[in-house]
Amino acid sequence: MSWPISLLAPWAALAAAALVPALVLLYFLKLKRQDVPVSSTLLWQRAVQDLQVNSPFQRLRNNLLLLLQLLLLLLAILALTDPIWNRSQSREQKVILLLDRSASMNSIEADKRTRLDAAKESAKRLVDDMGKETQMMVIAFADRAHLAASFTDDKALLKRQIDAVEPTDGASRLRDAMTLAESYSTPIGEGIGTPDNPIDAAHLVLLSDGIIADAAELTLRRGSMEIIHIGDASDNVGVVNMDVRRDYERPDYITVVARVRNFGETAVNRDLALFIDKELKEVRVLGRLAPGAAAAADDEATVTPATSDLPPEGSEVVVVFDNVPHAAAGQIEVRLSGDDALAADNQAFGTIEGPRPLATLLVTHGNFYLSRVLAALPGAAPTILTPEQYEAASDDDLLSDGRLKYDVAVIDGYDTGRLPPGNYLFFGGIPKLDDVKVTGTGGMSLAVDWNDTHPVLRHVAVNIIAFAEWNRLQLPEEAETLIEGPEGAPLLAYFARDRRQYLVVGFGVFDAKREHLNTNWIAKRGFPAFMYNAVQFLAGAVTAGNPRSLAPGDAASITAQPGTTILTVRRPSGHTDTVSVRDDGMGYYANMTRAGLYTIDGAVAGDTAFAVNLFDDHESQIRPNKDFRIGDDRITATADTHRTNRMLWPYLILAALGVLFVEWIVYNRRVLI
Amino acid sequence: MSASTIHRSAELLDPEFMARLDQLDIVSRKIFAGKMKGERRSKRKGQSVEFADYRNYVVGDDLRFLDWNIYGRLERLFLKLFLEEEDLHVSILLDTSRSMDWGEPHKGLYARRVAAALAYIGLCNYDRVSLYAYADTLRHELPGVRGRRLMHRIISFLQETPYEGSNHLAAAARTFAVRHPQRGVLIIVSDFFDKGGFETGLRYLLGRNLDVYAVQVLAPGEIDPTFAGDLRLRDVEDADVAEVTISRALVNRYKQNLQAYCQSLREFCTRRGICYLFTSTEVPFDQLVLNYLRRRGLLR
Repeated sequence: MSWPISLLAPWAALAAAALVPALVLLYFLKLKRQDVPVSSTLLWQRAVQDLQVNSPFQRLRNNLLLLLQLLLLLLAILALTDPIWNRSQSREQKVILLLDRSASMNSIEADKRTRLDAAKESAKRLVDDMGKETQMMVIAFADRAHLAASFTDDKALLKRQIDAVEPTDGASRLRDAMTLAESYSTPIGEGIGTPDNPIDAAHLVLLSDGIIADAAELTLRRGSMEIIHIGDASDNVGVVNMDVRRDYERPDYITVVARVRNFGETAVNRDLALFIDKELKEVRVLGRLAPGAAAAADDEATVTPATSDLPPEGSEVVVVFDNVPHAAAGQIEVRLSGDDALAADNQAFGTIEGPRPLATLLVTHGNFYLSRVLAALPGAAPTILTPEQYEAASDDDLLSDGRLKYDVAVIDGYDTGRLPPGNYLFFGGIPKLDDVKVTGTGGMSLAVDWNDTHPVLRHVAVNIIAFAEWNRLQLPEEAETLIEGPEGAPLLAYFARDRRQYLVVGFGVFDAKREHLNTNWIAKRGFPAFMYNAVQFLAGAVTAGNPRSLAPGDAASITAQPGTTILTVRRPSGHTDTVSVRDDGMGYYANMTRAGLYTIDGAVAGDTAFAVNLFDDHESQIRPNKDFRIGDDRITATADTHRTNRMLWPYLILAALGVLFVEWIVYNRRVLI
Repeated sequence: MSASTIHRSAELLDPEFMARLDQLDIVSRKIFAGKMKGERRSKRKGQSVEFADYRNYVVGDDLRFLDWNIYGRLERLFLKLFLEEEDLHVSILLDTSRSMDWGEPHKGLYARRVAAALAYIGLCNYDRVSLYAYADTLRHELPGVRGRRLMHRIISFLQETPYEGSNHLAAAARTFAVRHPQRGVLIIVSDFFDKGGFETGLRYLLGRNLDVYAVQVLAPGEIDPTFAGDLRLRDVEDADVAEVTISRALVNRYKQNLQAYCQSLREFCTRRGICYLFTSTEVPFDQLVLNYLRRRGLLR
């Protein structure tokens, strides 16, 4: 068994031990007795003898002051050697610190520090307290996990690495961090995991406010876990979504729609200001926003987890800035008045391109209905190509700036792999992508379920749509099903990737042989409405789902101007990064950890700015979750002052002060007798 | 105060002191005239008139003292015995060792005032008063003063006797006992801090059949020391040194020892018929003489 107290600086004892003889010497030098005449020493001699006889320690007691000073010195020396009490040294030899650096950790607490700063401080305390044989690893995580320091017992290194962890505005995802922790703490080799050589499971210490979106989906497979709760603040008002679009019929005007929600426990008054190209355009008084959360109860068990999606009545408003004249491309910003704990969601950014007439491309073997509907939409008449022409067309004919020069391409009854960056609406066909397949067909049917809140299905009566045959689509995971057919099969789905947006309709206008109509939809009033919505949705400038409005942590693919080899990205903080352009004329930039507007020099028009917005109800709900669970297991919370290894020097100094006090009393008693 | 301190006459004989002595005189005369009448053998009442006892006649006895009346009745010879009349010899043995030259209020001065007062009272009563100053032996003496008018001799003796030597009662008492076989009252005024022990000296005095009074005078600084710190206590008599670190325990122990020392002195005296008196120099002098000494039986 190892001695539970270890000295971190034993050399200090040697250095300071030289003081002991010096003190003794000083004490004897100091002991110059005062000469006092008395009438007779008879009784004094007797008293001294009596005391010496009566008490074996009298000689020591005479030197009580010396003893006290020696004790004081010893305590000071001991304190200098920095002893620690290793309470759990044998138990947790591998400790992994999981440091949450998601957006909510940027909340500013009552002491004017961010939660991340507090978490770092706690982490450094844990490092200070760690035992001699303990190894520690630090993982910083937000939407992704980042290994800040791998297992080491170098405290200085650990502290340096903890200090170097930078805040992000990303969402909290613990899965990556858990996986990383697990993989690092699992030794590799033969015979490991046998009873003779058990796996030394690591102890996880989570430093977080407990707002972790995927915590419920995780399980702790090995080792133990504790959480150190950081933060108390809960007052936050945030812009949780923003949508910028050009007016469809009057392209010189833009409409900005923002959703503002109060997440705090008290009602607040806020204004929302609209800036275009940093110029104040309009201010809306939002009035009083009701509390978004019930006041925190004392009993932790009754605190509702911050997962409720439905905002309480009156805590959320949708602000529409409509008919804002702005004919050029621009950078849009909405900004909330007032201060709250989390600053990142007090503003939202967007970009918008200059107006141009909507251009549509219809690739078809001939479709009277679609061509008529497209021609009826505002903007230029559609360009109609046959599939053969489409496949054969040169890039110059189809592309401009590396992008499809049409705003929307409608592909009718045809699968194609020619998918330059752009927006596509497929009828009865699919984009030839690895994860998009037709796995079969179905017979006469009706739509079963649909999302009528989606902009594409606005004013569209889906319940009356019938179709003779339909494709069973297998779509990417991120695809959003807008209309659901029999057996949950998607009939209309939307997904976006790599600067391309796809709307895929699972049935064609005509049947496979293009002899009969396949659906009654074209005869319904809803069909032109759907086409209008779809074109507007796909071509509409900036939405939350627009590729140019990104979430923190996303990567942006940037099309470089021809001939450019280096792109310069200016971050919201003012720092610049350079991105080298690849052979295909694209640059990829992934360092968008903070919300704000990233501007790019050397990119084609339309790629010169990226808006990165928090837009995360979960992160904006900053009230710490004190009832943190991994899966169904509640994680033990530890007070911030938790110590695995107790530093003993403060106690020694306290004891030394106590001795000093006793010495003072003894000295005074001797003087005052 | 140096070892050869000579008390100025003003210190012993300041007007206040003299006034008090006069008071004492009155008081003492009241005492002698009232309470003590008929109990004290007095020279002024004539010679040998007080009958004491009879005893059988033996050859050689003075025939004048035969009681012929008894012979007439019983036809046996009895001798009448009368109390012998003689002077009351008051001896005051004053400690003038250097240890008395200490304390605040000063022990030596206090002791001399006590001696002066007692001597004055003795003179007022026509007793034969002898003063002896002793330290390691009998150093100075003023024998056989009688009459109030000679008070100035007493005062000048007390003023001029220096503090010298160390307290050695045994030697002084032996010398005193050899030189003074008379019976009488002996008053010792001392601090009794005698490293040789007080017992031997007192035994010598007892052997002379004296009526002994022991007055122990201590200064407040001896009764309740106010020292502090690490000290080298130097004995003013023999330069003996005690290195002490004053602590509460030590002071308590000192006080216990002092009490035990005084108690042993008291017991020694009480067992042998010596009247023991203890006083601190803090006790006002007149209070000591008027109340305390009377209560203790020194003044009758």
